[in-house]
Parts: sequence; structure tokens; C-alpha cells
Amino acid sequence: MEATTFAQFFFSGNFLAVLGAALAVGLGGIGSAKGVGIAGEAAAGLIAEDPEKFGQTLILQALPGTQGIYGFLVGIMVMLNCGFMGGQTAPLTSSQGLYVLAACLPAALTGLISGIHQGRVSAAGINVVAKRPSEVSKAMIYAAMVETYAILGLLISILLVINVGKIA
Amino acid sequence: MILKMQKLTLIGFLADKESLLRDLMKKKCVQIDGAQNIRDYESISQITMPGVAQTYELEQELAKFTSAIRAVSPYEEKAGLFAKKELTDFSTMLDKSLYQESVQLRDEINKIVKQIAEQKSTSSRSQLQITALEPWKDLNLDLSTTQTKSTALMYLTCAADVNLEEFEKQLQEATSLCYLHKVSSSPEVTCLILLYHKDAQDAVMDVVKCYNTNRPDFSAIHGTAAENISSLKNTIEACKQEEEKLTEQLKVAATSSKILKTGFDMVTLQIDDQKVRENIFQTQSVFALTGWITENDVDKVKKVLEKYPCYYTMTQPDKEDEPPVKLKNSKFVEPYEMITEMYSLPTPDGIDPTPMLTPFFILFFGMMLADAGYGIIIFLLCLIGLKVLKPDEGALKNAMKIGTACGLSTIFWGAMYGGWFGNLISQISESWFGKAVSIPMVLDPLNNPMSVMILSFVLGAVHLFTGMGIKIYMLAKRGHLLDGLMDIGLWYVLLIGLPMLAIPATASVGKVLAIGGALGLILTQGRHEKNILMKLVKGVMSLYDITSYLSDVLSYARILALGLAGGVIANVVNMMGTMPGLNILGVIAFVLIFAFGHIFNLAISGLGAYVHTSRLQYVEFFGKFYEAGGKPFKPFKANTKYTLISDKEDF
Repeated sequence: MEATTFAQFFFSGNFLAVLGAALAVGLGGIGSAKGVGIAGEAAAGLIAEDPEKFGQTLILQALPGTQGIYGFLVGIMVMLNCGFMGGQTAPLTSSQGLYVLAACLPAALTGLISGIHQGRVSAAGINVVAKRPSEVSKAMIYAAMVETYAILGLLISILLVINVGKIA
Repeated sequence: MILKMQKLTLIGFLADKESLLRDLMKKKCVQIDGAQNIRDYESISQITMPGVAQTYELEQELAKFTSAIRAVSPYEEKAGLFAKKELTDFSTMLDKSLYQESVQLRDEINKIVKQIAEQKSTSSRSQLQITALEPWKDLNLDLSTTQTKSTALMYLTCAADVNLEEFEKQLQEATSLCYLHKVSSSPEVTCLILLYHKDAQDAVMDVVKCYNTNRPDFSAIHGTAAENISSLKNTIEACKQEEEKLTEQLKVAATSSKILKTGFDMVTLQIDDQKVRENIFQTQSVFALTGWITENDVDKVKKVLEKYPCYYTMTQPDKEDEPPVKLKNSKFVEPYEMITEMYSLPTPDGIDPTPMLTPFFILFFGMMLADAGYGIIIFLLCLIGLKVLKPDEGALKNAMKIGTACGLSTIFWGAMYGGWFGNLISQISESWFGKAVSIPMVLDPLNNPMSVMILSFVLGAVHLFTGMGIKIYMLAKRGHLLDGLMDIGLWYVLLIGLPMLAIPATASVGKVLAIGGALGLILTQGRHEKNILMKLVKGVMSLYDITSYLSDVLSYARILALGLAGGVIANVVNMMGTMPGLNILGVIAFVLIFAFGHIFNLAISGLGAYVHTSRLQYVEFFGKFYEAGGKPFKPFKANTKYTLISDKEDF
């Protein structure tokens, strides 16, 4: 009896949808936290030598922070579209829940990996700033190349989540 | 547009060299290259000597200025972020007496700095001595005393864990003619004096050697420890006062730091003047140089050169020449040259992409930020910045000009998407007043994202087609119009035909276009192969490039994604802000959340919009046609750091 209730709970639509939102926010956040951390370490090393470059390095450090925001966005979209912010007429069905869970994965996975790698590119960009501060924009473009894939993941996740109402 | 360059070759008399160079420097429009570009350089090089740049002494002077400027900088009036450069004219920069004045000030400052350092080191040395004497301060004995007629006195220090009783016992066992006295003890160190009769010296030393002790050297000290400490304290106090006095002097000197900076720039000017001499070749009586001038400046330079008895030519660049590149555009487009330059300048025979890049940059930035509220903020900030601060020509001014245009575009697209600080108005009226308000909008990216996505793709395709069109133009200009039409024109046909297939009304036309384009590509793309089979294979293989066009177009999906992301974050901020409800605390919370949240979103989304707009230009747009790699035009001038030499003619 106990086991079936757990299984029922586990496959309830609401739980699965929240799991998806949690994955998007959590994995995106981990990716960004790691990326921002890597870039921050490099930036702090440079600031010890040359405190005037704080502004430029801060921008480079902020770049890998967007994956966390994208994950957060997907989380919010799930909450809004599944009625978790209030106004849910009926709990989601299992298939709806699984749909939302899967819909969250593009943003979650791309956010995790691209956040870390964007952080590394940003850290390398901070080395560029150390030697040639005027070339900071080029370093930013390199970091933005990595972010492309997080953006594509975000886009697909959002488009899928928006359509959750059409899934039976 | 890339300005046309003319090659200048100049041979003049050595007697005129100094004043001629000065005039050219003043004009700021000639880039002086080595004499290697002169025709028959080989034969000339036999009889000429390369110029020498004597910069060593100047660099040293400059270093002195740098250290003086750094010394007074903490006491200067803060000039703020948008510090403007001092405006002077050229003759001031050569004023010998002004230079003398600045050197005097500089040396004075450096002397004060040195004196401060001396005071500091005296003070810290005294502090060290005090630390060393502190344990002995209770000993009422002149520390220079080491012996009387028959007894000797030894100062000892040892680690705190040495067993003193054991030490004393051993001493007593060795000889009775000694006395051990503990002066002080602390957790780190124990200070002792040992008195002994000189006859017992050997016996005492034998015991002392068994213990790990140090014998502090007080030979240079007279008087008791306490006396010494108080006099050292006086010294430190005096040093501090002296230091304060010197710092006051520095503060006074800081008020005339302007002179210092002018002096710095005067030396910079001399260094720039010297450096160019490496490129000038000379014999006993004449000198020769080559350089580049833009066609617009030809008359200006001629006017200068006419004043001197010299020989010069101005010619079109040869095939093997590599003239430097300078862009020239209308006032509106000019700031965006910065974006082109950031990637790389075009080759001299290439094309300046700035005018084509400008509208797309503004358009895509606006679509990515897409919030009228944010647009108004950016627009007003940049406009006020331009009008009030009046920044010097340079990156800051350009950025503000770009900001006003992009701000307007953001307002437009924000209005299209119905975003005014996100859903601020409808959120407030709904959650505080319970009334639903609908904001007029043309496109709804949140509920109907596909329409915005298709719009993004269409605009992206226009962007790409523009790039491809420029490529055809470039090929045509070099006499390869047919190649351009076959390599790119046929892709136009195919790429326009394919999406038409998806729309029923145009499907039949699309079919013809797509098949025609594809067939054309298959037939033409292998035209450089000799073998008929290879021609066909190469032609079919070329269709594989469709994937690169596809991924290029898909890349424009970021326009929708970034617009959505910024919009949703703004909505979330509004939602959180209105949650506490409509009461005094709630409104205060709302104002705080609103201000912090939207500033954060504006910063992050604005940065994202800028970076990704640039990326669309560099990767997708430039990838289609751009030939980068030009060398920037660097005219001979004084690269001053703190002053701006006015362009006005003063001769």
C-alpha cells in the first residue's frame, strides 16, 4: 500500500513539472555559479595587480551568469503556465508532468555545461584584459559564442512550456 | 567608405628637417613609413644612413613625471569619470619656460616623496629598536656596561622554555663566582643578565654554551633601556610630524598638477617626434621619407611642403603597396566604425561594411532588449550625456551616440511588444486595483512566439542576403561579376524558393525557383574542375552548403530568445514588487524591488543585447563577405595623454 502511494505521488503531474522547474533552475544555476566562479578567480588575480580594471573584468565575470537566469526564467514559465502561482484548476496529469519535465531539460542541460565553459572563456578573456585592456570587447564576443547554445536551449524550453496547456 | 590613400615621397634639405617635421606633426595627417618604399631603395641605401631615435633620456624624464603624477594623484581634485582633457595649442607644448616650470615642480615633488620615504624608514627602524629594548626597560643599568675592573657582565636572551633553575644550578656547580638575574620574561623570550668574576670566565662559558642563548648587541647604545625607548619614541613622533608637514607640501603641489601633466605630454610629444626619425633616411645634406596621406589632405600637405625647398611626389599606391586604411562615413554612421574596427579594419581594396552594418545593429539591439521603459532610460542617459558632459571625441562619445539610436530602436520594439518596464501597468492595475488593463501591442512574443521567431528569421535572412549582395558587388568590382552571380546569385534563387514552398499560395513559384537554383548550382559549382564527372560531383556537393545557410538563419532565433528573457525577467520583477500589496510598506517595498530589479535586468539584458548584436554582425554578416586585415592609418602626431592639442592653425 505504502509503495503504491509513493509511486502515485512520484508520477503525479505536479511533482514531475516541479521537478522539471527545479532541474532548470538548479542545473542552470550550477553552471552559472561555476562559470562566474572561475571568471571571478581570474578577475581577482588581475585586480591584485591593477585595481582599475575592475569594471571591465566585472562585465566579463557577469557573462556566464546568464545561464542561471535562463534556468530561473524557465522555472518561472513552468510555474506560470502550470498554475503554480495560484489559479490551478486541476492538478496536471502524469503525461503533462512528464512533458513539462522533458521541456525543461534543454535549458537545464545547456545551461549547466555552457555556463562552466563560458566561465573558462571569460577567465581567458580576463587574461586578455590584463595585457590589452582595449580588446575587452573581443573577449566578450568569444564568451558570447558559448552562450549561443544556452540561448537555443532556453528558446526551445520556453516554447515547449508555453504550449503545456495544449497537451492532454 | 575607405578613404583613398596617396603615397608621399619627400626629399628635403637637412637644414629644414626639424621645422618641416614639426609642421607635419602639427597637421596630424601624414603617416611616415620607412624609406624602403622609395623606388630604387637598394641604390639609395648605399649612400644613406638610417635615422636614429634618441628616446632613452626622454623615457627617463617621462618616468620621473609618471612617478610625480602618481605621488600627487591621491591629493588631486577628483575629475570624475568623464574627465575632459585640457585644451592647449601646439606652441604651448613647445614652450621651454613652461617645461622648466613643470620639471621644477616635478623634481620638488619627487624630493618630497623621497623625504617622506626616509622619514618612514627611520620611523620603522626606531620602532624595531623599541621592540628589541622593551624587555630590558626595567633594568636600571646603562646598557653599554659590560664589565667592571674584576667582574664581567653578559646580557642573555633565551627561549621561554629553558629551565632557568637547572641553568642556575649548573652555574653554581661550576663556580660560585657568578650571579644570574632574570630581567623579564614573556611567553616568547626570557631576558637575563649574568655577572661573573673574570677569573671564572671559562667555567661560566662552558655552562652557557650548553644552553641555546643569544647575546644581544648593545654596544651602540648608551643609557638605560627606558631612556633609549623614550628617546626613540620622540624620534618616531618627530618623524610623524615631519611626514605630515611633507604631505601638506604634496597637497599644495597637487593643486598645480596640471602643469605636471602638461610637462608629461611635452615629453610624450618629444618621444613621438624622436620615434618617427627611425623611418627617415639621410645623407650629409638631405633627408628622405615616404608616407601616406588621405586624398582629402593632399592640399593641406602641399601647402606645408610648398614653404620649403624640397622635392616631393604624391602618387596612387602601386599594386605591391599596402596602404593603411582609414574609414570615413557620414556623421550618423561614424560612431559605428568603432564596431567595425573592433573586428578588424577592411583590406585597402576591400569594402567598408559600416554603413550596411549600422541599421541592422540598431534594429537587432532594439529587438533583443525590446522594452520601451529601458529604451527611454538608455536614450535619455546617452542624450543627456552628450549634451551636458560634451565628452571628447573618442570611444565614450561614440558609445553615447550609438546608445541614443539603439535606445530609440528599443523604445520602438518595446512598444511593438507591449513592454513598458515589462508588464508594469497591467500588473499594478490587476494586483492592486483588480482591474485588467490591456496594453496595446502589435506582436505578443510571450503568447505567440512563433510570429516573432519568423520575423527574426526573415530579418536575419535580409541581413544575410545583404552580406551576400555585398559579396557580389565586390566580385563585380574586381571584374568577376559572372562568378558572383553563379556562386551567390544562384543561392539567392534557391534560398528564396525554399521558404516559398511552405506557403501554399507561392508553392508553385517556389518549386520552380528552388529546383532552378539547385540545378544551377549543380551545373556551375564544379566549373573549375576539368573532369566532367568531377564537375558534377563538385556541383552536387556544393548543395551541402545549405546547412551553413540554415544554421546562419537559425542563429537569429536569439533575437526572440533574448527579447523573451528580458521581458519575462521584467515581469517577474513587477510580480514580486506588487506582491506585498497596496499599503505604505508595500509601496516602499515595491519601489525598492522595482528599482533594483529593473536596473539589474537592464544591465544584464543590455549587455546581452550588445554582445549578441555584435556577434550577429561578426559571425553571420561578416562571414558572408568581409575581407579583414587592413592596417590602421596612424598619422604622425603627438599622442598626448592629458592634453588635447587644438587643431587651430597657429602659424
